[in-house]
Amino acid sequence: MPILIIIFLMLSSSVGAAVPSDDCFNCHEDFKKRTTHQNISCTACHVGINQIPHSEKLASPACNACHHKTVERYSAGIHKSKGLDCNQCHEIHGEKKGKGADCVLCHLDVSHKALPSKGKHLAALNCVACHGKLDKSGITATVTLPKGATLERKAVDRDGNGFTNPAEWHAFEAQLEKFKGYKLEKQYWAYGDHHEVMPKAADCGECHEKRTRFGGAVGRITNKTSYSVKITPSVFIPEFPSIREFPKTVHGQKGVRCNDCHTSMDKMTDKVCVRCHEQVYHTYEKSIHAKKGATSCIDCHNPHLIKTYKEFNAKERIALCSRCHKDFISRHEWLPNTTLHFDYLECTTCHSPGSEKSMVFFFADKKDNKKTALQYETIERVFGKDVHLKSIINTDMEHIVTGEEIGRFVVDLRKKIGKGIYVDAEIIVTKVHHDFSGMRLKERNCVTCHSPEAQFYSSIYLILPEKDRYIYVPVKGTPLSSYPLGLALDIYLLGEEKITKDDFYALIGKAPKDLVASAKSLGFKLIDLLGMILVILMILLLLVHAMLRIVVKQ
Amino acid sequence: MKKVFLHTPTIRIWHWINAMLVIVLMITGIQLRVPGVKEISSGLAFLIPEYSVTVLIHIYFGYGMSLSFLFWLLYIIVSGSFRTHYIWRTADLPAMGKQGYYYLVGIFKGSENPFIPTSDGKFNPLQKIAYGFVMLVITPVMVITGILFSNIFFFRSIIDRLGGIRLLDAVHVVTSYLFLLYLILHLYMCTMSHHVFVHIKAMITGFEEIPDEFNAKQQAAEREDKCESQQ
Repeated sequence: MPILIIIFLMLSSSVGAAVPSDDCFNCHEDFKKRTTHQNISCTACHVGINQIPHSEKLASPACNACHHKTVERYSAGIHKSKGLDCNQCHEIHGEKKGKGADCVLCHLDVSHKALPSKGKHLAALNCVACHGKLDKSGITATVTLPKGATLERKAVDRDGNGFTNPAEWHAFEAQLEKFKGYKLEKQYWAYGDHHEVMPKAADCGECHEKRTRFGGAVGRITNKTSYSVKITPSVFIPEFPSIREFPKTVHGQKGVRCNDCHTSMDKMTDKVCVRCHEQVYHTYEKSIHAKKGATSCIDCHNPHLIKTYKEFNAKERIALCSRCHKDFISRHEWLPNTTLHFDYLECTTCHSPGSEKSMVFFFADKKDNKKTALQYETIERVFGKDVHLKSIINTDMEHIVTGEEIGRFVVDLRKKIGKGIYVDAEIIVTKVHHDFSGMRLKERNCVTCHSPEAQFYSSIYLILPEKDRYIYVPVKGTPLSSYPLGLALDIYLLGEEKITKDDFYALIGKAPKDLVASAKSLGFKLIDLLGMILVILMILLLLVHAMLRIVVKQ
Repeated sequence: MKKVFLHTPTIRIWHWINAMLVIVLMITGIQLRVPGVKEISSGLAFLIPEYSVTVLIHIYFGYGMSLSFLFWLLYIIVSGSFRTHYIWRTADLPAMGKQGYYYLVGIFKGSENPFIPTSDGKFNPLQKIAYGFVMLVITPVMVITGILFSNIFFFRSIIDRLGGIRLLDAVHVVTSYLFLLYLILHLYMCTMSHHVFVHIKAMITGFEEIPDEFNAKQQAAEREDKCESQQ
């Protein structure tokens, strides 16, 4: 279409126009040398000239007659609203073709003061990447191996799914170190129209969170054979929650400011964390993770995360470890009911011997075989705003709740919310000891956990959702054996309620009235008690029978 | 002394295999239920396997028990043994009282056992009740709950529908106590013949020795039966 217009203009200038361009050059000699618009006659743009000399005041040339789309986009941008016209950047009668103005011609002293990691950003990105509306953007990482060197596709895509995740890329980078003279070039490319410059630069979150810019990354590995893989963009552009969310994070709540940690443009190291978390770090320092240099603090702990580690459930904690330890299921095949165990345990339940393990209970809802932990929003809907579950459950206002109290509350919840409410349980670490050297433990002795002496039975908590957080309320004794909770529970732990000598002696000492109540409180333990008594009685009876038989025979 | 053929070779072989399975399941079951048993009996600790091994033994012998039970069920139905020996008859009701009286009182007075086993009916009414209950109620319940526990993850939805693992575990344990009670009684009762080892011998050879006086009685009883049927 533009070609047709140009041809039309050319024709019209030679045939229809009253004034040929050569006549104009008599006065405007400089424009004769123009390369831009050189095939277009003067009167094509400067309309209204029918004779020479022409009137002094001429209408401004309308660029949009030809550059219709560009002008439209430009009109939406900030430059137009500031009153800048095309010719302020473009030399319309210029001698060099094509080039518009460079941004820095005007924006010479841009300090980018508010931009974190300024150097990194400015070195990698062009102006449009942040300030323009983008048509296309992405990241290309080109790895050029030295001559003759090869690295198979498997090195960068270990699981062969055609997608490289951060763990795979880091492992690949480590492998690259073996090759001297390899080259890794990262290119952050962005195509947009320079004319549509936005009033405000793109929000950090567009790249670092929502990934509406630079949302895809490709790795090109070139050596004898070349191949490409898709890479998770967070490998090259780190992820963080938006500034808006930061005050909700643990660090934000405790008053930590961005520049308390981001002191330089260098990559974050453990040195930053150790300034506050000294003791924890010294424990961690001696552990196998730190010794092997495999992980730094931020590899496991995202300092911009809203949830604290304590609020992670067993599944989320496993997800954290399994980013590197992907084969955790196959490595635990020796464990009977492997996947069932991983439903209720986390990695450090076994692999951090120094940590305090607890049995934690929480309320959950079972709908269509799907189990979800009860959230604060649901509780609020039922019990009203600013509700504290602890004061509802714990009627005697003690620090500790009892199994009976929890049981009563579940029955109440079932009436209010639905029949699917139950108490779920997990065995997780509640006080973390950062030495995770407990590898290859292969605790094959089931009774370490499946026995009343298991460590976590002496530390039982009920996790309650509060507004914006979770609280841990200690639970009294062994709630598993108490009757109401026995009904509410739906956990799969066999062997958690063995009868003990103490139970038996406690029963013997009771008056007949209390005996029934106390026997009831034993729950399923009663089966063992009655069973053993009956077996003993049976043996005694038969012994007497046998003795009598012998006596009679004689 | 007369010999009566009571137990077919199939039943004899099944009985001893089943006995072995029951004993192993009982012992491992006790360890599963009372994990501390290893610490309690420190002197015997070397005899007691690792807990995880115990779990495996219990599971595989449990599978064996399931097959054994299925085989028994098919066999007694197909061979007609169920109809002959297990079905309750009208004459059994009054005989039950007599039998009970004999075990509790009569035996000490020197009276004779009111029941004489024959190939047409080898169980007295009390045996019918006990064996029927153990083999048709307790064992199937234990076998089914046991199979569900052998792979909790796989059978999870069924377990949930049946009332959850805790309830099923309780059922499994209750029935195992009942089985244990029965087993003790069974072991004792097998000595209750005119000689201590007669019943055990019968389960090995198939023939039970019946004293002549029993024989005379039996013939009299048979005669009575015939008369009744003629009338």
